[in-house]
Order: sequence, then C-alpha cells, then structure tokens
Amino acid sequence: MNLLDYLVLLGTILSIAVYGVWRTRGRRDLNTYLKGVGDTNWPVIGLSVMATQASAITFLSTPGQGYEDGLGFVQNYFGAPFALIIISVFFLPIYRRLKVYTAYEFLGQRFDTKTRLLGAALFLLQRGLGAGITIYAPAIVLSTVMNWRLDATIICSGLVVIAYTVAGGSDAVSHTQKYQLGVIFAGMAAAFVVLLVRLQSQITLPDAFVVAGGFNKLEAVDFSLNPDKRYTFWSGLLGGMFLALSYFGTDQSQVQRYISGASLRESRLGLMFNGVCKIPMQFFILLLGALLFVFYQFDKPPVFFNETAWKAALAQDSDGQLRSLEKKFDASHIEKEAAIRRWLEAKHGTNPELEVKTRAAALVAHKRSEDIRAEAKKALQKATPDAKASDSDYVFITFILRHLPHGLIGLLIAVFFSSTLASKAAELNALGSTTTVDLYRHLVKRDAEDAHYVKASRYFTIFWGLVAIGFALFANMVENLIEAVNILGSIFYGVVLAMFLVAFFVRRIGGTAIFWAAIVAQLLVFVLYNVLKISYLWYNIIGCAMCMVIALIFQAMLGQNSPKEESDSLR
Amino acid sequence: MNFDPHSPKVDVPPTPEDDGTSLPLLPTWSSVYRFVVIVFLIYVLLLTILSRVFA
Repeated sequence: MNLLDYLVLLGTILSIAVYGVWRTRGRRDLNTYLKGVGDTNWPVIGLSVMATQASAITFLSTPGQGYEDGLGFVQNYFGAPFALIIISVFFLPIYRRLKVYTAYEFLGQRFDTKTRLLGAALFLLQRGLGAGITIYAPAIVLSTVMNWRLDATIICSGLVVIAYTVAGGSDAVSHTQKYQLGVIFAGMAAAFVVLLVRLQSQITLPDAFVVAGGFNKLEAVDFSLNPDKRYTFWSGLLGGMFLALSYFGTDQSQVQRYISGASLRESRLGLMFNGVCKIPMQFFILLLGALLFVFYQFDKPPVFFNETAWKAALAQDSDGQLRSLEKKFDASHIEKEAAIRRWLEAKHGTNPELEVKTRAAALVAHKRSEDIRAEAKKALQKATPDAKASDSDYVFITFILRHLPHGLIGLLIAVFFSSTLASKAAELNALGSTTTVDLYRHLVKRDAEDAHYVKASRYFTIFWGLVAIGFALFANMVENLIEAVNILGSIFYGVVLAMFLVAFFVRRIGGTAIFWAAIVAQLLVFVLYNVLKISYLWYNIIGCAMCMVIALIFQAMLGQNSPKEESDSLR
Repeated sequence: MNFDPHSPKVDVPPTPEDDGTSLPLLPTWSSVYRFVVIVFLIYVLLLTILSRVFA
C-alpha cells in the first residue's frame, strides 16, 4: 500500500460515513430514527438488504471458497428467492399493517407480552454474542496481510460504524449502505477485469474455463441425493430456503431494512430485487475464485497464502523442513504448469486419446503439488502451533496486493471495510432498536417523549457497538470462533422461526402455548446438541419442528384460547 | 385470538396498500413472483449447462 492507496481508502470510507451523518442530521422522533422518513425506495431497500447480508468475510472468503471447492457453494442460495417470495406475501404486509418497529412487536400483537419479550431476548442473545464477529473476521485477515495492529483495526472500524449509526439511525444505515455497496461492486468488478487481463496474458479465456472445468471448479449444480455431500441442489433449495426464511423474515437486522420502505410496493420490490440478484452475485464472486485458481496454475502461488504466518514459521524452522518444502513446491508447480500446457495443446489437436492422457497427467501433477501444500500446512502448525492451517481466506487478498495497481489496492481494501461497516451498522441498529422498543420502552419507561427514546436508542447502539468491539478484541481467545457463532445461530434460529410461523399460519395456537413450547423446544435443542452427532445446520429444522408440534400439544391441553388471552394478545 | 394474515382484523386501521406493482410488463404481484421463479429456473438451467459443458 502506498500513499495513493491510503488516500483512496480513507477518502472512500470517511466520505460515505460523513454523508450518512449529514443526510440524516437532526432526526429527533422515534419513528424517523428507527424507520427513516418513510421515503425509502426499492433500490435503496434492495441494496440495503443485500449489504446487510454480505459482510466483509463474504468478499474475502468466498473467492477463496471458489478457489478451493469451485462453484458448488452457489447452491446454498437456491432457497433464497422462494423464502423472499414467502416473506413478501405473508410477513411483510402484516409487519407494515401493524406499523411495528421490530419483528418481535408483531409477536406481542399476535400472542402476548411474554412471547414478544422471549423473541426479542433470543434475538439479542444470539445477535449480541455474534456482534464482534463481523468486525473481527475481516480485521484478522487485513491486519495480518497489511501489518496493521489488530486491536487498532478493530477499534477504528468499530468507532466509525458506531459514529454514523448513532448519529443517523436507520436512514443513515440504508443510505450509506447504498454507496458502500456501490464501492463494493466497483472494486470487485475492477478486480475481476484485472484478473481477466492477467489471465489472458497466459491463456485464452475459453482455455481458462477448460482448465477450471478440468479441475472440477465449475461444478455449479449437483442433483445428487447423497446426504453426505455438503452442497447439492436439494440441500440448497430446502435447507437454504429454511435458513433464508429465518434470517430475512425474523432477524431484526434484516426486517428493519425492508419495513422502512415508502410503501408496501417499495419494500416488496426491494426483496424481489434480492430474489433475482443474490444468486448471480454469489456466482460471480465464486467464479472470481475459480478463475484465480486457473491464474495460479500459470503464475506461481506461495506455498501458503497467509505469508505472514509462513514467514513466522520460517523463523522457527531450525531443521530447514519448511524451506525444503518450499523448494519442492516450486519444482512441482513448474511440472504442473508444463503438464497443463501439454493438455491444452492436445485439446486443440485432433488426437482424443492424447487429450485424455495429458489431462490425467495434469491431474496427477496437481495432486502432487497439493500433497506438498498439505505437508507444508502440517509443518507450519508443527513450527507454530497457534497458526491456522487454512489459508483460503488469504487467496484473494494475496492476489490484490501482488497484482492490482496502486489506487485499486486502496479501493479493494475500502471494499472490505465498506462491507464490514455496512453489515455491522445494520446489526447495531437492530440491536439498539430491539433493546429500546421491546425491552426499555416496555419494561422500564413506558410513556416518555419520542426524544427520550431516540436518546435511549442511541445509548443502546453505543452499548452494543462497544460490546462488539470488546468481543472482537478478545475473540482470539475462543477456539474456532466463526463456527461457534454459526452453531449458536442454528441453535436459536429454529425456535424463533417456529414462533413466527405459528403466528402467521396456525391461528388456533395462543400465546401461552407457544411461549412454553418455545422454552421447552429450546431446552430440547440444547440437550440434543450435546447428545447427537449431526451437522449443526439440522438444528434449524429440528428446533422449528419441535416447537410447532409441542405448541400444538400444549394448545390441545389448554383448550381453546381464552377471551382474556385473546384480548391480551391484541393489547 | 382471531387473527388471519389475509384480512385486516387486528385493531389497526387497514392501510390502502398499493396492490399494483406499477411495472409495465408485470402489473400484478403474482406475475412478479412468477418472474422471480422463472429467473431462478433460468439460473439453474444456465449453471447446469456450465457444469456439463466443462465437466
């Protein structure tokens, strides 16, 4: 990074944040602070929903995922269009009709106060605990490769996001996200173009696709019914729809984005924009990764993409094992490149047998090279036991720093910061709103002026922002952090979704039945999680199904909803 | 509890929510949803072709 890069980085980040504060200055009543002035149109809603979901790790890690495993991960998003249609048809009109600030207010209106508080508490617990990850995950990568202090990176990005979220509220989040996403798209497109230009100096684009396909990086759709396969059409369609329904329909960080629309039409079109654009967006990020794989078949990659960790391990390499592996890897790469070029030559020739033979030789050469990489990772962990063996998060950033021109490097680093700020702002905004509307206004101070609640919401946003920074600063003390947070989400999401599905579709179940069913189901999920050895993703479905069945049983035992409960639920 | 997601029975006034989409080629919401599903099917078809061609 040189001075130009830093100017581009700081100029981009600060100008968007200052714009967010200026655009929404003087917001004093609760409605406009939490939902904006009600003039948000569908492009802003659509981009805001997209930016909230796409955190920095999406843009850092997904190309690495494409590099390692190809395009198959795109299937995870196959359920999203259907989930967004369900939300648009059933969830959204009711949220808007009831003029709620938070999704959990709806639970209060449909059921009762205790169910609303339970929903809000589950959200705050889950999202609050995970709050630090959105800052920590990209900060650890960026600070490593840029040689910045990790704590300074976390604190700076945390304070910037707190400043404009607190100052401008929901409207500031939506309007800054629009420009942040603009920076993200521009940066990713620029990186894609540079990659294509660099690639074409080695081979033609059709040949690049042949190589990617030959190494199984372009297997985007797999209709296999094998449950052991991680990404298939069916798991993406069904599991993905379930997850998207929970996330977009009941998570306040998303609900707050689309209930602020100027009308039902604007909110619906914002959601449908995501239904149409989500899959191609993920596809292009994964394709970038698959083409990076091809690029690194002709341009020698480092043996381990986290070069800072590799250099630290080299310093401990007293017996020279790492250096020897480096040399072996370099030699294997030369052999592999030659084997791939022979294969491409054969492909353009007229001898199909030679093509099969040379392709097999290229695959063998690739396997040999990958075996050396695997050996190098083991040796790295032996030399520095704290080092992580996975380096896929570092693939894209390594390409950026090595191959992009100055100025563009600053823009791409701005992309990662922008996506951190965009998703973090929406999370903080949702945590502050839920704490104010569902807890503080309901339990502590019921009839205060709007200005008081706006002030309270600002304090709660600062509180959650500081929690996020604090958690991120100490996050490295927790083993396998990102997976831990995903497990946490899966454990809670199923029950929360069941509460909303019952509220929308099962009229005969009342507040008392669903409240106790949610508690029992949540406890059972905790027990099952400790007993069963299944993938944590299944707990989304198990929790939801259990909660709905138990609620039906409880309601049958309680008899029909009493008039008292009915009136309470409408209070 | 008498709650029906399809009718405005809760104690809030029904809002004259815009039923039309104001989109020239997709005038109703059901046509918008059909469009999203058709686009999804086209994506799956194109991705399947990509997978097969370069397998």
